Amino acid sequence: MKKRAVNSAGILLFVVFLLFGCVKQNFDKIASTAWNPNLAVPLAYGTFDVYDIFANENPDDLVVIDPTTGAVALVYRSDLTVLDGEQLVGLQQINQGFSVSSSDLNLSPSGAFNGTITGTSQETISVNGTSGVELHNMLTKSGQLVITLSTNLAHTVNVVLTFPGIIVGGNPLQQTVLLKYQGTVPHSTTATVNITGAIMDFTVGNTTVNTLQVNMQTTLTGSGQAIAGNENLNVSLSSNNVAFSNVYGYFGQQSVLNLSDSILMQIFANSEGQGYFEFTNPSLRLLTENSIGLPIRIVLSNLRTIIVSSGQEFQLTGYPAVHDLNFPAILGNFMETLIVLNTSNTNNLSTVITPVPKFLAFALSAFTNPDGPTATLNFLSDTSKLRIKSELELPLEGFAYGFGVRDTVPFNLGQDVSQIDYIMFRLIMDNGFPVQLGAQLRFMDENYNVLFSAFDQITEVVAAASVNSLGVVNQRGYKITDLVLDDWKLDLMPQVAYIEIEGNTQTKDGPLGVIVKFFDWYNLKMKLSMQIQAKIKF
Amino acid sequence: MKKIVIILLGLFMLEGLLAQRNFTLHQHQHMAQAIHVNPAFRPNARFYANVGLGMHSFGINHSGFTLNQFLVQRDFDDSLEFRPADAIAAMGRINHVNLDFNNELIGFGLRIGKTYFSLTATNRFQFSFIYPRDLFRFVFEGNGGSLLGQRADLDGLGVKMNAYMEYALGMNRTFLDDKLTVGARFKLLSGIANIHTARSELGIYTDSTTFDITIDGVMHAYSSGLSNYENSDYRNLGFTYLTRFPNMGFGLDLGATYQLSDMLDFSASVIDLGFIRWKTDNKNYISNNVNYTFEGVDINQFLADSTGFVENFTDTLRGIFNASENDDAYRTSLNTRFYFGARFKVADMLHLNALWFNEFILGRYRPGFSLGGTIKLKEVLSVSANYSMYGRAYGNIGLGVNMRLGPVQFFAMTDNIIGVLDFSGSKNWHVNLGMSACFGKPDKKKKAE
Repeated sequence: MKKRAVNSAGILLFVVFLLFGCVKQNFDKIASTAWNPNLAVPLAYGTFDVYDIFANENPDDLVVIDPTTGAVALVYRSDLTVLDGEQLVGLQQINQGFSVSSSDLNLSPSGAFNGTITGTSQETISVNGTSGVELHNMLTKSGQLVITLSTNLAHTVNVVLTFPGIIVGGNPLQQTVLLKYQGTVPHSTTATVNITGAIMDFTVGNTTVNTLQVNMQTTLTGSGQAIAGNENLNVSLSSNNVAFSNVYGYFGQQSVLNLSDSILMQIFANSEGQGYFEFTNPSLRLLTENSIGLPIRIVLSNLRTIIVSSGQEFQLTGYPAVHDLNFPAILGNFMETLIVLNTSNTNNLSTVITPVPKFLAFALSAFTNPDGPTATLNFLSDTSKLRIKSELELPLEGFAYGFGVRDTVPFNLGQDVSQIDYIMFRLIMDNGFPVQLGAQLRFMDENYNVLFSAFDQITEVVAAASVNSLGVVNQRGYKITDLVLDDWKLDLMPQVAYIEIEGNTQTKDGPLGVIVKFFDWYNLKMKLSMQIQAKIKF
Repeated sequence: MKKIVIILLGLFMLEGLLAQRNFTLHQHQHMAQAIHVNPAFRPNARFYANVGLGMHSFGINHSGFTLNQFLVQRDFDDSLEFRPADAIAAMGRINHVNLDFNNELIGFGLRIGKTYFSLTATNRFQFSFIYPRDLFRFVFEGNGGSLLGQRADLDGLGVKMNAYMEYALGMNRTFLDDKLTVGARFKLLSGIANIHTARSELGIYTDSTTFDITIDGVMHAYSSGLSNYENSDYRNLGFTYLTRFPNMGFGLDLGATYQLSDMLDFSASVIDLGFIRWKTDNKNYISNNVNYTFEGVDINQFLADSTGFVENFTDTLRGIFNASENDDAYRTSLNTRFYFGARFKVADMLHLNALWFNEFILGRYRPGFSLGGTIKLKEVLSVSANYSMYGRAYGNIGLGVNMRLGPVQFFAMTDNIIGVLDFSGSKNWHVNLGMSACFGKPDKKKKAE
């Protein structure tokens, strides 16, 4: 029994070693192999509303929402010009002289004279504005009046000059100038008077314009010299740096503006001249804000749309060209004027936009006092301005088709893709806009030869949302597009120097003329994901 | 690269020692070290002593797959190629890599009449890495393969590590005319270090259309005493913890044998009932309940603030995957095992054995079964062999040899000799070696064994 047991144990051990004793793993025989993980990752996502899509490139582009209906309109704005009121009234500086004769001085010939003689006289001074401006009154914000006296009298003369039309501190401006004899003739003196803040009345008691009056009282004090009787007193008046805070008067019929300008229609910037775009109710608005107190008339001319690439122009016709602007009745106020050109007061505003032009261009001129002087005086201040802005409003309601864009961008992979079996980019577009978008990518070498394309043909990547009979979206468009770069395409990637991007777009059933409307609740949800099959060899 | 892969895989392939199944040791009931699997077992010698060499058991077990299931010979030549799909197919939903070290540093045993006393000091180290099958699928296939549109189920991913000193005082006694033996070992435990993931839920779902990635889960991880291993003198930790009890625990082994007839006896034991309370050098991490979907870069946000985008995104992730930290004390259970055995005497020198093994790891039940035979030549040599199944490995062949030359006893055994001979084809690797001094002749009644 013992022997049998020993034999059994021996046989068992032998069998075990026989079966397993020679099992060896030769790791040197491991073949080169590859690890092929497949990674799927989301890359980016976003939701884009009407503001993101239509107004993201230029801050001047505005999306306007009708607060009642939520309807969306594009508004392209432009500040056309700003007219400074000061330009309308240019002041000519005073530079006038006159002589006070012996008789005005109450002088008669005499021998040695030691007494005093007093005389009075009155003179007028012209203050002219440019371009036929008639000045009535003015508040100065700066300026000086320079008075120069000279005489051949061998006596001391004291002159008191009074300007009834220049009110300073509530009183007429009065200046005393002493012309002291010091043993030689002629002798002279100069005095400078600050007239900042003065109220100047150029009407001489509502009898004239552009005129100042000066009253002089002279007092001669004898020096013991003789008086010949033919001496005189010369007075010279000039002004320096006189500027107004405000001015009243009649500022004449001046041509104050003559400009040409245009509005860039950003929506067509990249697809100019291609396709068809019909807006149901576009409008061009000119908005003026005027704080210059006088009638101004503007005249519009040469309104047209321009396709820059082809040079084609489409003239707008039938529009009202002449427009009188509102102006304030009180200094410091302003008045607005809105000039609207739309399909109701033009012949063809929709039509000239339909060819997808890049610019809407026009000329504009402006004139003051088109009907001559009026019962009320013109006025302005040194801050008075006329601002003119333009707005092209395109309510997003209509249809479009045939838009295409094509662009070529440089490309340099700069990555080793030898360990990638394929890459798939997945674009998921959940579209609430009634707009369809197709795209194609062409990968080209440095000589612009197409190596391969993303798709066999231009492929829809954004499906248009469906609309009801009113043009309102009633079902979103959903589209998944996979761009697969498989191994042979990846092998060509290092040669790719350019990528040509081609796209086209149209509104839902645009070629059929189906009207679609855009509302502020529309949005586009985008999702970009990627799947990579690696082939990592080791 | 290949070598690195092989080494890493090799670590995964090794299996064995693990929570000390010790099927083969169980067959050598007459050895003093057998009390580690059933405290009712008693050696033939009246006195046994060991200082340092008594028993050193080491095992690794990997329930997932063998190296041969991953590195396969090609059909058309003798080259080997990696086949992760085959390895994945061999895995269960949850797989374990277990390591277990038992070092009986000191052991004494003394039989007085019907009673046997024992005293042992054992260094215990147990480590389990639990990984779900989907972790491999995720790594090798990526999330865009078969996992696309599915939740990569990483629930249960975790680690359990226990390092502690065990001081055991045992006693067994025979009753009913020596037919029944009942024994117990009372253990005082000194915890050295611990890591365990008390709660681990993790899922990664990739949407099949959008590829959005959703991560869900929660993690409660506890650790204690890890800074010990950051110290350069960590090798002396065992000695330090001989006298200190910074993390005290208690354990209990219970066992019994019953001889039904001269030919047949039964045994049953429960090993490592007990716990350790960890309260020193604790670092616990409690994560948020995470349910986060990464949808890619938010273009709107990026366009609004491209410079601060990365920082904002990072802050967001930090907020989502935030974990709170504390040093609260906690308690862990021991890896409790149950043995139920039967032994049939074919001849005086030949016994056949059957053993049913049970254990729980992180709350998961793992059974094993073994059939074997033991041949004993007088009191000098006993040899055992067995076939066992454990951890989805169904071809384990265990062998054991025990020699007693005078007062010196040597033994060497393994639960899976195939793990030694066919490294790449095995999921279990185990060796148990020891030497001790035994004095006193065995009882006549036991001589027949």
